[in-house]
Amino acid sequence: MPRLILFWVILGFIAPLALAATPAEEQAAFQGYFKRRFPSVPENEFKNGVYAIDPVMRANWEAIEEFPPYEQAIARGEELWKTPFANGRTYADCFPDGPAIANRYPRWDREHGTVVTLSLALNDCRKANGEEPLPYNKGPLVDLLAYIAYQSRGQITQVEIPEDDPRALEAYTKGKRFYFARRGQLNFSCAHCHFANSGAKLRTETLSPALGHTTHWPVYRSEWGEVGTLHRRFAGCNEQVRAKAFPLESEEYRNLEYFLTYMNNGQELNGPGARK
Amino acid sequence: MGYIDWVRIGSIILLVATNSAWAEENTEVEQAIAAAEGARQQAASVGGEWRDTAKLIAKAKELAQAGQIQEAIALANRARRQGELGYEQALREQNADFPAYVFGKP
Amino acid sequence: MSLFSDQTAYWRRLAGLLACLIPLTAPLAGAELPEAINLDGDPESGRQIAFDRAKGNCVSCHVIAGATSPGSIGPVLTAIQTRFPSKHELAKQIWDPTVRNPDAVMPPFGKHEIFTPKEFADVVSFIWTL
Repeated sequence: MPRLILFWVILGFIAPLALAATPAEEQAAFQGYFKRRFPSVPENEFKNGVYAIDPVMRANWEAIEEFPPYEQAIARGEELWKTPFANGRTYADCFPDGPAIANRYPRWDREHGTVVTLSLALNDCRKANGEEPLPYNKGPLVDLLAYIAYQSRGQITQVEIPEDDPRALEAYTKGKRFYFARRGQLNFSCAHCHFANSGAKLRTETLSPALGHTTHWPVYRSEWGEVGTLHRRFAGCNEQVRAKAFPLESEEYRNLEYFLTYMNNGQELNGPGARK
Repeated sequence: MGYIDWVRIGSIILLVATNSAWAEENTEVEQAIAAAEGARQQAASVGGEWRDTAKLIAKAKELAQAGQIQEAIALANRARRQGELGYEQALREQNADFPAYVFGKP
Repeated sequence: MSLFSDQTAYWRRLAGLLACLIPLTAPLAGAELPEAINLDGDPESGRQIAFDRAKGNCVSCHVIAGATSPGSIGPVLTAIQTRFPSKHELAKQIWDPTVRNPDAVMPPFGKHEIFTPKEFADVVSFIWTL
C-alpha cells in the first residue's frame, strides 16, 4: 500500500513536467503542423501569407508588387532616419548596426523585464535624445519601420527566449494564452481562423496560415489605404471578433508579438509588404 | 380651511407623489447604468471587455438624460450582461493553449 | 408614500412575471437555451438576417442555397430536418455550438446575445426550412 502511494506521488510530480511542452517543442509542433497542412507550399513561401496558398490572389498581388504601394513610406523613413535630432544625434547613434536591425526584435529586455519591439526601441531612442515619442498607429514611426524593414530584407527571424530569465518564458506564455483564448462577443481565438481553418474561405477571402504572419511588417493594406503595423492588425482582428482592442504597444500585444514571432523563427523577413 | 388651502394641500400631495415616482425611476436607471459600468470594469480587469459595451453604456446615459428611461434601462442591462459574459469568458479561457491536433501525427 | 412605491414595485414584479411568459420580448440572458423559448419566427426575415454581413452573416462560413460567394468554414446548410431531430435541437446548436462541441468555431448567437430574441426565432425558423 505505501508503495502504491509513493507511485502516485512520484507520478504526480513527473506527469506535469512530461506534459508541459517547452517553447522550442511548441515551435517545432507549430511549424510541423503548417507544413503538414500545406505539403505543396515550400517552406520559404509561407512568408507570402495567403499568396503562398491561393494562386488567383497571388496573381493580383504580384501585379500590385510591380509598383509597390509602400515605396513612398520607405523614402520618407530613410529621410527621417538620416535627419538629426535637435541635439545633433541621429537614430544611427542609438542603433550603430542600423538600419538593418529588424530581426533583432522583438527581444527580451532583461533590465526592464519586458518585451521590447522595434517601435518601442525607436521611441526609446527619441526619448533618450530629448525628442517627443511618435504615435504608434500611423505617420513617421511607421515610415521608419518601413525603411528599416526594407533594409532588413533577407534576414532570418530569430527570436530568443533566454532560459536564465523566467520572466521571458512568462511573457511568451502570456502571449500564447492571448493567442489561443476565445474573446469578444463572437467568441473566436486567433487560432480559430489561422490554424485549422487556414486556407478555408471566409466569404471570398482565404484565411492565411499563422506561419508567415510576422515576416512582412509594416504592411500596406488596401483596406487601410496606407502602411500600418502588426499591432494595428492585432487591434483590427480583436475588434472584428467584437472584443475591445488593447492599446498599440501594450504589454498584451508585445507579449503576443513575442510569442507569434518566436513561432515564426527561421522564416525570412520580407517587409514591407502589401496585403488586401 | 378654505377652498384655496385644499387646493394647496392637493397640489403638494400630487407634486410629491409624481416626484417620487420620477425619483424612483431615476434611481432605477442610475442603478442599472452603475451596474453595467461595474460589470464592464470587472471584464476589463481580466482583459475580457467586449467591443461595444462602453458604447452601450454611453448610449444608455444619453437616453436617460433624454427622459427615455425604460429604453435606457434595457440598454444598460444589455451592457451589464455583456460585461458579465466577457468576464466569464476571460476566466474560462485564462489557460488557453495549443489545440491537441497541432501535436498530432499526420 | 411607502404604499405608492410598494405598488410600483408590485406592478413592476407583475410585469416581470408577464415578460417571462412572452420570451420573444424578454432578453436572451442565461447560459442555456430557455426550454420555453418561442421559436415561431418569420423564415423570410430570418433569411435576410442570415445573409446580412452585419447580422447573422451565416454565409461567410456556410453554403446556403440562394446565397452568392459563400465561405467554406462550416458545413453546407442543407437537409437540416434530417440532421436535427427537432427545431428545438437546431435552436440549441445556434444558441451555443460549444455545448455540443467545445472546439466549435461558430459564435454563440443566443448565449452572447448577438441576435435579439426575434432575430433568433427568425433565423432558427429559416435554417429549419433548408
